[in-house]
Amino acid sequence: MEASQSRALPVGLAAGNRRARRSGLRRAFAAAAAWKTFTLGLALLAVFAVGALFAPLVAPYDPAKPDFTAVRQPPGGDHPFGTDDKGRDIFSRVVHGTRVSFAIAVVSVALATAIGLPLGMVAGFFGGTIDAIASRAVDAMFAFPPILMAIAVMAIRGNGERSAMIAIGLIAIPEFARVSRSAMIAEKENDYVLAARAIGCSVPRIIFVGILRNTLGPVVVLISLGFAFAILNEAALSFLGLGAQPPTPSWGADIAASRRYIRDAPWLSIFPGLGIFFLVLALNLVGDGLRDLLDPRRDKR
Amino acid sequence: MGVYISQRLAQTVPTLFLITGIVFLVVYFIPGDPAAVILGQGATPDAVASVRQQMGLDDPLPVRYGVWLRHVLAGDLGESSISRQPVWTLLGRALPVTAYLAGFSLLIALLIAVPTGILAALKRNTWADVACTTWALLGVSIPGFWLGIQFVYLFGARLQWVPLQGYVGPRDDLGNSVRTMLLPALTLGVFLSGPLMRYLRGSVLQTLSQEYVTVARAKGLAERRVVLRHVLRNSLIPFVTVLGVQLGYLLGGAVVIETVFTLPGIGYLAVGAINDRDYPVVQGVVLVVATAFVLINILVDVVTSVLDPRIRAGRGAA
Repeated sequence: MEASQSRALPVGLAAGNRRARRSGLRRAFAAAAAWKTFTLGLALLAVFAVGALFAPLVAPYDPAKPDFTAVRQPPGGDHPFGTDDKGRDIFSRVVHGTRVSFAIAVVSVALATAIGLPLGMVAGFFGGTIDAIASRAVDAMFAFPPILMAIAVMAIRGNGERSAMIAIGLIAIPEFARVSRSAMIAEKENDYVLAARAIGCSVPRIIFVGILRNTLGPVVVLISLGFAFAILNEAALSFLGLGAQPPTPSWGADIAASRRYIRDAPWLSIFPGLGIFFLVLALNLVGDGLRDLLDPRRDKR
Repeated sequence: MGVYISQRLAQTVPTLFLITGIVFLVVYFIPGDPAAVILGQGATPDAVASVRQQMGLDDPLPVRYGVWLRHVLAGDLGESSISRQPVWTLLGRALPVTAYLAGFSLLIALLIAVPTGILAALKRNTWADVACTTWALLGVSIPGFWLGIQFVYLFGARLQWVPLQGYVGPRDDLGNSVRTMLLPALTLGVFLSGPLMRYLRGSVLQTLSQEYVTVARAKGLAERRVVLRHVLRNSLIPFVTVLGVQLGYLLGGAVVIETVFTLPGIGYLAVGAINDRDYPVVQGVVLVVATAFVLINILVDVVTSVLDPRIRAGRGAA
């Protein structure tokens, strides 16, 4: 980035021009990189989405049907990812596991958004006592390590997919509230908010129509990163035996079950883990790419 | 200075109060009768009723909370419904294991994150930057428990460099203790290094754009000195604050990693207690962990305010 162009120009002009052109180039370079990150993530995410939607068509075998004549077969031949300790096709289980992970993540992120977003926006908009109370509550929620809190919620609700949705949604609320609060604080000083007030718009309308539309960027980033967080936590809960229950194919639970065979059949745990890894990576790429693309600071610098 | 610390402490009181409320309610809502858990199977309804009365379980919710809070403030967390041992005894055994794991992981995370974060910022948009940020992205995308299992397979089962699992206290046998702790700490450390590295990179980049850095360069200071004296010192202060916040994730990660490596820390204790429906232990673990998180974050704020007078003045770090 230290290229010195426009040497032929008069001294004063050259300096200003060079700075402008360099920052323009840098911005274009950064935007291109962000765009690449975003599309790569989106493409990867699309693969998983197709797998989740059309799992019965994509998976060659029934994920829950044991075949005791083909137990723990290494990858290759009829079973590209091998078979597990009950002779079930691991590829089919990974594909169906996508479905379970997606379902839990979608519901929990929707829950976190529905509660955390209005909480943060209202606190940020009004400030004062309301903000102080909401902020203390969010501080208190932050003090609990997320997975520990999720485990406690699972203890209340009992194990299973539905409880996992609620537990993971609840532990994501403080982050959603924090981010939307700071987005609101940055946005509410704008003239259009004042104008909306002047023409007599109601407060809910100003917050949830006017301002929300203008803070959609950070919110979308938050949602995609929240999705990654949800997938990882769902996997951890299932790994601890608290999420989806057998014989439902679940990445976390399948990894837990594979631990007994770690010496002789490592593929039992490798493939479900790669499933989690690539899906979370896709979501992180989408989130990071979007954040860089939407970052308003890039224009101001 | 004293004013700042007392202000910060005063802010914490309502937070800690809310924490006790949340912990109490969580356990209150767990289904099942604690009295029945204590008496075990085959208890007569009369016996259950009398234990319920003895434990004050039939009192109204605010009364029960008040009684519980008074005990907690007096340092009494009750006793385990299963082993009848005081909760503090169980915590006293488990906390050092988790602290050991967390400290070791943090050390590994910092050893990875600090050099790579600074390098990535100083060599922005070069291959070194791309390599470092890619590492951070991969680090935060890998499920920790799965990475732990793969480490066990590779270094334990295949290469046989380290034992597969188990825990050896550092005072019993330091060498073996470090060997058993290496894989769990590496697993957590890799995961933690991602966000830390990203944050440090951002912080250094921001400092580099400050005017005093331009001035330092303009007056002819050697680049080495500019980086060490001006950039790093000012970038590390907000970084220390983030360390405190990341501690929550570190402790959460420890819960799962302890299960993978069967380390007798607080995570292992909590998961076991939930499976056994041992409420006082669940309550104690969650309360102590959350309180520790809050107190450590105050400590972090105080330390950074000592390092950076601007924070005390209420103007925030650069």
